[in-house]
Amino acid sequence: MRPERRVIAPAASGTLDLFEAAGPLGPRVLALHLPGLPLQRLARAREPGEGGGRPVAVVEEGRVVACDAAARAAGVRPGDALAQALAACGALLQVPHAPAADLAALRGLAEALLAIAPAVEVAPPDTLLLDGGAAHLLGGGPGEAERRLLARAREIAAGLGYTARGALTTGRGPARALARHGAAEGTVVAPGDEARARAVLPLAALGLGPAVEARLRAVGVGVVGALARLPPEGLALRFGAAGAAAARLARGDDPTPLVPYLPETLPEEAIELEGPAESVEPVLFVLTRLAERVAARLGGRGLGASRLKLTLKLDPRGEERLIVPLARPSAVAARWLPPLRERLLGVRLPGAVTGVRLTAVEVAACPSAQLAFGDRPEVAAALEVVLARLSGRLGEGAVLGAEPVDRHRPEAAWRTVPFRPPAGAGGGWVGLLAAGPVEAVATEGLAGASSSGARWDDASAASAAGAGGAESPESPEVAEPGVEPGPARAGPDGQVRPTRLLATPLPVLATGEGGRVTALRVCETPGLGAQAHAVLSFEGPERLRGEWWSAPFDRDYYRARVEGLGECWLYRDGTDGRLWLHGFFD
Amino acid sequence: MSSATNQHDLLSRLRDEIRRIERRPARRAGALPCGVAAVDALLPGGFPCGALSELRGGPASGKTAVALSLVAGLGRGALAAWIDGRGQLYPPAAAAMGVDLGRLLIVRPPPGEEGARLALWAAEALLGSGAFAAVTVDAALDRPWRGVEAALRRLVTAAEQGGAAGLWLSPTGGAVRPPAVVRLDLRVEGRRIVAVRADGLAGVARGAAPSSGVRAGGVHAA
Repeated sequence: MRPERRVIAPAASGTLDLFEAAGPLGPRVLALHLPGLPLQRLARAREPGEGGGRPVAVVEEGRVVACDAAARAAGVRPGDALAQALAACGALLQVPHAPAADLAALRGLAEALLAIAPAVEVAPPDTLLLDGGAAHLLGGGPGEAERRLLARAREIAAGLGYTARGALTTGRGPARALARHGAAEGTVVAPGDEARARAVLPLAALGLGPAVEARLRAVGVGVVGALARLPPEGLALRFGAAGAAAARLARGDDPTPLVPYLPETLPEEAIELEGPAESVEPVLFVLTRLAERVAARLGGRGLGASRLKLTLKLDPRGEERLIVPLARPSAVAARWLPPLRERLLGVRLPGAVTGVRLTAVEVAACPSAQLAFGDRPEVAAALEVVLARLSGRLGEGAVLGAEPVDRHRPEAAWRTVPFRPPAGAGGGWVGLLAAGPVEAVATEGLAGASSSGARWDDASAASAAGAGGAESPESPEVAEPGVEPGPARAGPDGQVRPTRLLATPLPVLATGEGGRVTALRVCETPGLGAQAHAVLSFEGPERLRGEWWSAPFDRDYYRARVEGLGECWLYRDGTDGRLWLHGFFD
Repeated sequence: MSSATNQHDLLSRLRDEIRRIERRPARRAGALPCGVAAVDALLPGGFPCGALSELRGGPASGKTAVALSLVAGLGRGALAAWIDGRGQLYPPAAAAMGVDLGRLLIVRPPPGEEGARLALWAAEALLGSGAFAAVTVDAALDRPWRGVEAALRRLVTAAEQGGAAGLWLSPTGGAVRPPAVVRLDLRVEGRRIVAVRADGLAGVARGAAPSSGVRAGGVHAA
């Protein structure tokens, strides 16, 4: 809906009575201004106290762009030549200006702010603009909701290590001007009060050039309210496009929409340590802060990390990279810390650590979930810890889950996948693990398996148990007859597969009589012996062939009961007729 | 009630209280039936939680199938871990038996003696974590090394701490045997699994009536 302009009735006195005051002429926008962003960025990337308390100045092309309070106290001012600044303060720490790093810092904060605003615009060099249209979701009535939004935005910024000033009003330009030049604690301008709030701002808030500002001052126009009272046509005539734009901004006429920032990179945060750390404790301390920052950025985007990369910068050079997989995507730093800690404790560092960087290298959609009744977060933490320990010591490739693959080649009928247990239907696997006595768990498991038909001899379980109870130690007895309980289980398509498959099939020499295989000798078989084993039964074949497009195979599989070995899975290779042992029905 | 039993109960309560304070997973108690009648007939209630059980047999004796059947019956979202030291577990067969592969963690240590040491270390970590209801250990311990007994004893402690049902798969004539409270010898006759119980210490360890000698159970083929 296009906002309408309305006219405030002239007041008896005051500064607003002579000009047309703006009503809601644009979207409600929360501008978040980060004063001295280059300095703030430097401070948050270091441990407190690093730099020995030296005055810091950001320098670009031989001039001071920004300086901290200590440098100001020593007489350094933004705009000073470097030589002039060094003359004023010999201990000045010079840091080159890095606009790209400032922009990256703004984008990082924008990601975290996406948690509270439907859209965030990055407005370099030091401002973020948030869509305030969804403030009502925070509750508390129109004014209170916007105050809460402002407070929440500053809180998130503080969590990421930034001090921010904020202003929430109508229109992008006015919000930005108010944030930069308004009250330090933040301003929320109610609809209808925009003109009053703008009127007291200095002309610098309008972004006029110094020459234009000086000419306006010369004619007695020192604040925005005074400029707003001037006829716009005259301003355009005297000052050109800049004057017309300033006049529009002074009247609060800025209906332009926000340009939302769409994050494209994965979040990464880094901190330089105060000094080389020989032990793990300082690294862990810093890691907590980094994890919170990365988690906030991910959480704002509705994502969770499923794999983290911890990079330790070593002294004097080199780095150690640690990958920490997570069992379940999460944007909660508290869940990352136990596996990160475990991984860190499990590694022997080749040198002292001078910096820490944490990156979410693999992310997944992670809607915020509410704990269900009976959920046990400590079980989830225990799982993450043990997975981190195993991955750290055995390598990530040794800790895996399995997934069936629809292929005929037996050894290719499954593949390894990262172990990510699915969430349970009723509140997640977390709570189901230790929610109750195990007897109940097992009983339900039996019932469920029985209905699916996947369990062994369920029908005979009761009678077998009865027989077991009656047996005597002196005279061993066997239980009641049941259904076929052998180790071989048929899959959904009726195929019978062994429970153990040899990674490398073993060659077999067969002895036959009358067209029947009567004995087998398994070659190259440590532990199985090299003697001939009588074949008690020989079933098959099940012909498996295919994959002519890559590595063709042609096998006839047999299920053989072999004396001394048990049930084996053998195949005759169609290409050369040789017999191979491929698995056991164990 | 004897003083030893009182002391045991007191220690258990203290352990639970410490777990609660440390916000660690609650210890499981009870037993897990595996669903194989021949085995369940020998183990009233099933394989004990918080303890190690040994399944011993030849290369095709049914021990893997018994362990997989137990995993398939866990249900209700419980997780299981399988230390596949020999690298032979065939997941499609496990899925055919009803195992939810999404809830089965497979750990495959490298081959050799170092791999066997790592398998024991991983078993201790998994048993003691409290995150898994059942942990099966199929470690390729073909030759014992110095200190292996201590490592095996630590497994028992870890199982007690984590409350998982630990299943140790041993080959017939294996050189290393863990201090298990339940020992089953398995073999296949025809197409039947025959289980023989041979753990004289079982009753003592579980605090129930002591049993000694060898008991046998099994199922005839239909």
